[in-house]
Amino acid sequence: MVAKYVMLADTVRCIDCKACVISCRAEWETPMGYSRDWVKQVEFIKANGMPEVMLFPGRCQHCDEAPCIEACPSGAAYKREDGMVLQDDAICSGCELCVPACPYDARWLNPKTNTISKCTFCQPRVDKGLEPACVQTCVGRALIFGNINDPNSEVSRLLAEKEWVKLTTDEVNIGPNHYYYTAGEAIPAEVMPKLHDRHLAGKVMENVVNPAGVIGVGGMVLAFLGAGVMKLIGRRNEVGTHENQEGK
Amino acid sequence: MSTPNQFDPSRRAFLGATMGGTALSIAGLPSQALARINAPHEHEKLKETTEVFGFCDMCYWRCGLKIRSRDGRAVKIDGNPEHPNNWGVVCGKGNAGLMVAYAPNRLKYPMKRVGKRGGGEWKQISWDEALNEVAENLNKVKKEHGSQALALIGHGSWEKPYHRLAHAFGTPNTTSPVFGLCCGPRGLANMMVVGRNLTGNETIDLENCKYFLMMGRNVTESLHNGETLGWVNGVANGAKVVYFDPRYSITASKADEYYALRPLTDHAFLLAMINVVINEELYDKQFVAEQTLGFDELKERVKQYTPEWAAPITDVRADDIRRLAREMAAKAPSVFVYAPRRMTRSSNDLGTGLSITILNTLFGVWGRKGGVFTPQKYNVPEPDLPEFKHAHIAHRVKTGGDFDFSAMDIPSEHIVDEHGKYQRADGAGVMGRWPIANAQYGLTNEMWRAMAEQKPYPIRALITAGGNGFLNSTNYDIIRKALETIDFYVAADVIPNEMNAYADILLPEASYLERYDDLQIGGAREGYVAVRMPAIKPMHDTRDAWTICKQLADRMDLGAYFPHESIKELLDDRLKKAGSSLAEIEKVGILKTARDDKINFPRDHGNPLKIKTPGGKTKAEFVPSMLKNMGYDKALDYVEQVRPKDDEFHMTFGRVGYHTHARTQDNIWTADFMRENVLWIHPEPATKRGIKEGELVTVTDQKGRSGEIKAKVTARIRKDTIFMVHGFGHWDKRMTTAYGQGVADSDLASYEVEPHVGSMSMGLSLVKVEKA
Amino acid sequence: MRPQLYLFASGLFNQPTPARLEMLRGLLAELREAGPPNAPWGETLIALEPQLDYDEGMQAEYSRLFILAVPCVPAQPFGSYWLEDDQRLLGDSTLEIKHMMAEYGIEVAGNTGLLPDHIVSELEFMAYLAGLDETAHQTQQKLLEQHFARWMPQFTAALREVNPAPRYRLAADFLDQLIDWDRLQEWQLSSPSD
Repeated sequence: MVAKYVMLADTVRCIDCKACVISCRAEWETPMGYSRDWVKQVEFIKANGMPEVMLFPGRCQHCDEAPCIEACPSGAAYKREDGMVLQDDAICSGCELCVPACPYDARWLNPKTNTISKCTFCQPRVDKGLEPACVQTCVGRALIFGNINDPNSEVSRLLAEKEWVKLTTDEVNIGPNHYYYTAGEAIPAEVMPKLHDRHLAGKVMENVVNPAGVIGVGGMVLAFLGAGVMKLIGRRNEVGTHENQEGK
Repeated sequence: MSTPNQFDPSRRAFLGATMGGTALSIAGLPSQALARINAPHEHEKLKETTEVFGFCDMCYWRCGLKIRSRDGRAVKIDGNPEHPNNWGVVCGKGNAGLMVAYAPNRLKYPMKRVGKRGGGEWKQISWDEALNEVAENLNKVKKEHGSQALALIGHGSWEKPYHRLAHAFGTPNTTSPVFGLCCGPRGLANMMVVGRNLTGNETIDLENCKYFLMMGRNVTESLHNGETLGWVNGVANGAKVVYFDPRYSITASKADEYYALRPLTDHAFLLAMINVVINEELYDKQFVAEQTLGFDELKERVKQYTPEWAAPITDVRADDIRRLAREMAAKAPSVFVYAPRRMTRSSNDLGTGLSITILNTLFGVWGRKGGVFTPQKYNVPEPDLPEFKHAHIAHRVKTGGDFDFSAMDIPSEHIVDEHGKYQRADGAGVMGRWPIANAQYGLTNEMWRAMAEQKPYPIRALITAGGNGFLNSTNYDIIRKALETIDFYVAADVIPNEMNAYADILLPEASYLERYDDLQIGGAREGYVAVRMPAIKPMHDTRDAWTICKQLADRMDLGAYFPHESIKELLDDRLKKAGSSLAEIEKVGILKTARDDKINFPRDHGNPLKIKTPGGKTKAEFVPSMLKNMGYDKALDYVEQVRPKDDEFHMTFGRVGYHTHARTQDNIWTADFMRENVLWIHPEPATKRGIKEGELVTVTDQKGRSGEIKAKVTARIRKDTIFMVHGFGHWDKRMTTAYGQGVADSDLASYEVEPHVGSMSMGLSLVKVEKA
Repeated sequence: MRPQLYLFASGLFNQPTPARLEMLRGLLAELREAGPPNAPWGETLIALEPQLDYDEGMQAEYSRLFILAVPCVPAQPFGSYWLEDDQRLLGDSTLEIKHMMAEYGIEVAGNTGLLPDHIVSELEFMAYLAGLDETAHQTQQKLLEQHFARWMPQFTAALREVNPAPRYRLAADFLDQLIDWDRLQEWQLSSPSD
């Protein structure tokens, strides 16, 4: 059977040491100010008046019905058979339509490459038989990665052993493949996925995706007007202005 | 004429908040360079790398590492799965170690001070000039004042050769802050009671422990990978966690029960626990009968400390104390009373340490599964060296001057040097001063005082190897005066800081990714020896500690103490004596003995625990005879601690998982998570003062020291206590990321001296907080 | 004369040793005599001439500006400091220089303690390339446009901000003038004239 990869985050074992975040930064050379993964620390007062802290390591949830793929006009965002939601850099134009499409805020434009960056479940490492960089370094062994279709895998065993939940709401339920264990504690609203205003599912996409599909790569640029290209032009203008200043 | 791009010298401060420099550099690209932007890039490929082994220098736990390099550059730090200190995991700090090597602010060349000391004017000199100058100055001090006029303060995983050099030079005055500023009192307490030490790499059987009574041991934030992972595993295996801390830390959030203990009153709580354990006969009767002394005296002495007595002092209810004692006894010996990592807080840290050790001893945890295991050692002999000049150092030849906290460092053996003239200037191990302080590590705080006051005899020269005297101790006036008083100061370090800014000569150390170092020899369930190999060539004109010390030794006629031509030759020589070789260990990174339950848990196998206390007893001493002889057994008794008045707070500080001491605030990767520290204050006192979340407040101690810091208004702290993360408030502008961020807790913490040990009591400060 | 120009620039930003200053004085004389006519640095060279005597005090000034100082080093002389988003040394941009050097079979000598993208190394590399035949032209362009032009103006601006000694103020001027002049030469060569 084809593998299906999932990530488990045992929040009870997480200590917010940021090892996962820095390990990812080093492995994938993400620029300062951006990260493919994170640990959210949520503080609140419990019903009994006592303070509480919960920790949520997060990243792309590699959803079954990934809206980012739907939003991507160029076909750069795609889902592999094993469940990994990936991004083809050679095709990605950096239009950023997928960014607000993600209710988990897992995508961002890498200013170094002008393409979209996101967690890949460390696909290049996994393909070589290694664990994702965040999993390998995780101090509390709070992150567990593996093939859910293999009944003998650690993730299958753990999923059967404990009560795991996914970050879904009535509004956003798109089949994430990232599981959380909280020992029965309710998940705070702060870490739940949210639809973004700029992402009006379906509507914008129809207009963009269709012509792109028809016109092909060369014509895609036209379809991007109002999104990424404007920004690029804007940048070129900035450079132009700058050079003009230099000329003076 | 070209106009500069949007230069902003402080732009580093904006990184993280915005895309900062990146945006600027793209906007500033000449048009030709734009072609790069959409070119295919290599980011999503796993590139070929070579791997070398090492051990970490980001904190003092020293995890085993595998460092991946490509194209002459270290690109990723992974854990060595075979290393017992971390079993393959590496924390955020460890991962960020790359940025120690790549930091633009590193010390890059040997420098000589020009102008006034501490004035910050330097010139680059060659290594030859630098080493000659150091040798000349040290020899001059020796000639004019004697070798004892040199002090060495070391603070790093590479400080060992400097200790050896100083010992060869002939001074007794070598010190490391770990004793006087950190773990001393608890290590000493362990030693006095059971003759062994639980500091350094703790030997707790965490996975199998069933009950953790944690006295502010914030094991998730003051984290050491192997220890933290072991603890998390223990908790997952069903251990109960009862956590005491005035602050609701992340560790508190993992606990089954949390008590916001009144600051500094741990001793009172522990005495009451001992009282219950004894009165209700909850202790390990066989162990107490067969392997301990002084039980009856202890019983008599703790009689007064009932739970009812402790409750109003500690804010822990009497019935809770009773229940906890019973619960623990039910799980003993798979229980552990967990001391805080740094235990230099109250005016009776020795008493707190003793009561923790006594409680663990009553529960019979020593040498038992789920309690404390007996570590193994991997025997790697030191090279043959001449005798060291001071008698009290001579017996250290075995460790080459390396630290061995568990060495039977009996003070009475080394309180007099061979001339009978010079004892340690800090008074550690000296009769009439601090006789029970560990003379191997010394009292760094008292060494600074000796330099500042030139008492009991002149100290005219100082070597520092790493460390930051300002931010790790708490009396800035003393440090400053010491640095201004001495004749000659040479500092070896990787980064610039407030202390080494005063150096006459700065020796740039290679970072731990660029060098060999002497072997790491440790004791865990398995004994091990591990190697540190260079992952990259030194980026700048830097050298490693051993090479520097050897080259200095050669210039001071002390070459016989560094008999090898190179550090590699030293490692090979030592390893060959241990039946291996450098070539062999470089393939695997670590050599280990096999685990052996019979050694680790002797008492589970019907064997008694091997005990030898400093008092010369072969049984554990509830009332240590050595302390009794010196009158220090009074530390067993509770001493009233300071209490804040209505408008005052206890000043507390501690760690966060991604910063180490005062060393990582300028690391751009760790600073990305926390650039400045904030002052934790409870909503009630905050409201009373009109302080809102994020607002700037002024915090002032009773000595008039003060600082401005942003407030974090949170119910996660007691109403009478404030807290801030340690290590911030750097004022050295060379630390371009850390400069001016937050407040230095060390400039607010107290600097009274613990009256038995001589270590620092940093938790006695009471502060006021107002809107700035 | 381009090799001498870049060698001169490189030397200006290197440790001010007596031997090096002697070399700089020689180069300066050569440049004033045989340099390109109407070059923008004419006055700069005149002003620099009396600034190139060895002066021990300049050691501290050099350290303050480029190595180590309180309050801080204002002008880090490393390309990657200005080009990498985390200001690291030995960044991708450093390796790029290293590889360019390797293509020509050269590297920074081990005993100098300098990185390939230290300003001294980069400028000297350019001098080396400028002394080769036409085949090095493309590499020179890359070096000029993707490295020098992207960070050296920031570097010189930073240098000017901290009121450097005249030698280094003039060195900054000279470097800016040289880079602008060199880029202009190239632009004129590659643009159709009208």
